[in-house]
Amino acid sequence: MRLFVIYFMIVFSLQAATLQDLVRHYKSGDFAYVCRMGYKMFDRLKRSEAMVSMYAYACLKDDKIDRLAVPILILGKTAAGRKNRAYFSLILAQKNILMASLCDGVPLSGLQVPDTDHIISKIFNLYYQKKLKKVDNKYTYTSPDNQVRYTVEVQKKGRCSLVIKEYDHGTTNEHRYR
Amino acid sequence: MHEYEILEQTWRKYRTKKNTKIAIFAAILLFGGVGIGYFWNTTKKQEIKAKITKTDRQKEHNTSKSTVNNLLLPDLSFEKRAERYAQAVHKRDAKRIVQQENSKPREANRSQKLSQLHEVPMSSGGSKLLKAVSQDKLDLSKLQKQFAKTNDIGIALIIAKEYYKLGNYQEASRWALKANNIDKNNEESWVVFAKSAYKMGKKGIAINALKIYYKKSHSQRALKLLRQMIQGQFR
Repeated sequence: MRLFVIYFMIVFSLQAATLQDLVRHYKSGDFAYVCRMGYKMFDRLKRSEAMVSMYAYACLKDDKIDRLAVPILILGKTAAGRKNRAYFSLILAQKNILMASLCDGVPLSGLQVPDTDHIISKIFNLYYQKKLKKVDNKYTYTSPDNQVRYTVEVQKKGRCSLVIKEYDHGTTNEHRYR
Repeated sequence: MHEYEILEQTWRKYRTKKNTKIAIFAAILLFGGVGIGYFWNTTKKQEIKAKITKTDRQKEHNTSKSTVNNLLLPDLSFEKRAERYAQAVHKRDAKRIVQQENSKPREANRSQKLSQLHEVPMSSGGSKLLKAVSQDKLDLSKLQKQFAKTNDIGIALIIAKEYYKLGNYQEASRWALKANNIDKNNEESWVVFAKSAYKMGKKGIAINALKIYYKKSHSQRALKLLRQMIQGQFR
């Protein structure tokens, strides 16, 4: 019996610490931790839409877009949840359409979807506006003032993946999507 | 024409002139006022219209802008709500842990009582016995009355052990014998009797009793106790 009580104490204390840990790491910008730990303790997270949104947003920031699929199914009870669901769904869809088109050459035209602040949306719109220039296996875009530059590389070793390099006013970021 | 008629005509002309002047002045005032009012009204209307068209244009501009950009952004209000939720969960779990901590001694007591029960062989008065043992303090007189009614060996042994625990070895041995009279093969009755006799200083009687029982049953417990008593290690 005592062992049982100790076990529950440990489990509950661990879970409580982890939930607060998630929020703390999210605040400090450690999105990789939030996404990784949130995935492990998703059963606890899913009770709160705010926590699910936080987990999904962290995964988005950590370039793990595929992990948005489950939060999309859960979100929708509140107005904020529905808005975030639309946001995540759009990015996930844009990423998948872009992958299908870039990896397999699926021809898609006449798409009219909203834009987001995410890099995938930017690349998606540039691609369908035919503003990306294809050089070898890379697609590039340079803004008229030369301050923003994107490079999209399609890697087809095994599973097809996209490597997006972003040069924005002197800062460089690299994103990888599968 | 009489003079008064000429005078009347002149007065009429004068009156007509005067009235005409007043009428003209009144008309000017009236038309002027109406004109000013109309002008004021139209300018105000124009202003309002201009304002409305401006806001409309702005709205149109905004909508056209949104249709052009159509920017969808996340609702980041979840950050605060997630923090509040995590705090609430933490508090709730902490409360639960405290409650579990508090229930710990009760559990320990209960398991102790139950272990005490397991040592005692249960017979017909089992449920009543459990009821009696589950009480925080054993009511010996109540148990004795119960024993008188049921003649249950379990109750006799509980009484014997309780007296032994209280240091009343005389009564403990008496109740152990009572239990033994009910069932000669009951190990607990032999052990409690031997222990009580040993504590009363009747070492020989205790050792003999255990020897008899060991010969009969080959109980390891009896043998261990016997060795301890012979070597003087029993406390």
